[in-house]
Amino acid sequence: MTAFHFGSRQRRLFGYYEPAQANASRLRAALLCHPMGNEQVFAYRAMRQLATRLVRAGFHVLRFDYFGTGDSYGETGEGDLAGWCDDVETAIEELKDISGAAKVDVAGLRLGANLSARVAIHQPKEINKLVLWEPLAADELAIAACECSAAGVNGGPKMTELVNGLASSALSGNAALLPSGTLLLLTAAPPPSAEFGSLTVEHVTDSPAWIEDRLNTGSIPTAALQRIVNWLQ
Amino acid sequence: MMDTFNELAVHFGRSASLMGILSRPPAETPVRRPAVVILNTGIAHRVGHHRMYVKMARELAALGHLVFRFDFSGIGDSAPRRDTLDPTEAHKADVLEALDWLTASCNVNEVVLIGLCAGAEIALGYGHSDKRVIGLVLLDPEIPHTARFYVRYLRRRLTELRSWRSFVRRRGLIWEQLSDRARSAFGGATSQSAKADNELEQLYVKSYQRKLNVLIVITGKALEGRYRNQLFDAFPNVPLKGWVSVEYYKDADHTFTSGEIRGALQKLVVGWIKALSVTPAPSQILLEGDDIRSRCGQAGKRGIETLGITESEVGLPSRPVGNRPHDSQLQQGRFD
Repeated sequence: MTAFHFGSRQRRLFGYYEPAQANASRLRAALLCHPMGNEQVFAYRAMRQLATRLVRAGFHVLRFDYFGTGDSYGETGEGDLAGWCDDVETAIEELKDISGAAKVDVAGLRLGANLSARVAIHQPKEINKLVLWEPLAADELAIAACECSAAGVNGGPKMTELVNGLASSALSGNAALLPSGTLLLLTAAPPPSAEFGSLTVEHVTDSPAWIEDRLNTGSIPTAALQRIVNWLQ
Repeated sequence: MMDTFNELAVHFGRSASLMGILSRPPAETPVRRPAVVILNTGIAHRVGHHRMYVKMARELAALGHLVFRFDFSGIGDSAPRRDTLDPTEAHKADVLEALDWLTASCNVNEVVLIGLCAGAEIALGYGHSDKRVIGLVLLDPEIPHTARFYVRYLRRRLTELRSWRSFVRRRGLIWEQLSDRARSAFGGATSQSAKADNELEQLYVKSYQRKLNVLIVITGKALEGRYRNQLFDAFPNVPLKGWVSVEYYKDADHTFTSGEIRGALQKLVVGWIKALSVTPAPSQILLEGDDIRSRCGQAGKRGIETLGITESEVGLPSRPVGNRPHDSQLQQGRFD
């Protein structure tokens, strides 16, 4: 495993790369896209576990932090939707470069899922399979925007712009543009079937990795992780 | 625009199983003592809640301090230990490995430890045992409950219906404390909480004997009833007054969620460390810094920045070298 920085001098991103352990018959690489804010902190353990499982299954795996988040350069609040989508594309190029893979699989959690879907629509040739794990729904985006605009809470990015941007690429209207191997994985309540069009939607009852409370802290959503690995294999 | 800091991802420790981020001042800024080591809060990884440790580390680095944020074994990107130490002892062993690495790689011999909650507990438990530690910043550390605390706590909770429900169901802080003390009274043994309080007191005594500089920040919202002088009341036999600096943030919650309060906290901590700081002979430290840069892979393949130990040294498989020039390579003119 290697922790390192990549990207341009103006936009240096932190990444954590783990090469495949198993001798897979074909070269496969997976990019993991974190959630944002404290959801990233709470879900870090689960995303690391997901990386470990994928590595054991024969994937080269890169996790990374978007600009202005986690260990990447940039002030909290400097990030924006277009920039973060660029970061996902930069990370895809980095993973292809390191692993030698021609295309990559992408798994995103929460806002990471929304960003992954947006990139997949604009860069369909780069992505093989896609997992959208509990993407932020429209009402959650609105709540996030409200919380981040309150006095000083999280010092968050420009959430209104983010909400509008994501709303313009809502999954329901763009399902047909996503890769055919796209899985929408939900661990909260099952969604109404019409909302996600032709997407494959699965509901796995498991703990929400992105929430910290007395009962869930540190727990790993093993059923959800295994479903993601199985889907990508 | 000139960078005010730069950072390196580091694999370190006996088997390179621990991982951290070293924030450094730019080359033209003289390195100041002490270095700063920031410890995990519970199981949250090295960035901290609301990314507070990243911001703190970068501001301190811009002033000239070396700042190391690392993950305890089994947390974040550090692998679990293979020995049988309990978590507290394991984390103290991790701190030792972090300080040893800083000493060996950066010639660091004076360190301030920063910790929040469980991180503060580890900092207090470890600091007195290592001569390199000269100061502790303890954010919302454990403080024994005093009589005044209980009065304040009850006064606030009695007006809440859910508190009465908990009391009737024999749940909550009051019942836990009462049952613990009742068990010890009838069992003739020291209660768990009294034992823990004694151990905590001894840690402050040892820190006092070591003449450590100590800054303590107490929050008012984490546990209703906490007050500024609670530590002094809890340990009247330890000469805390005039030794430790205590700040009380009445409106702060346990993880300093408010950006405004976080900003005030950062100003406080940075100012406190700055007051401890000494600027050494620049040439000596800068030479060490140059040595770090040559070892850490800024001149390495593909711009990957690992410090203190190379991939081949830890037996990691080599990775394919890509074709795209990296920024760090471009800076060195390798692709000109």
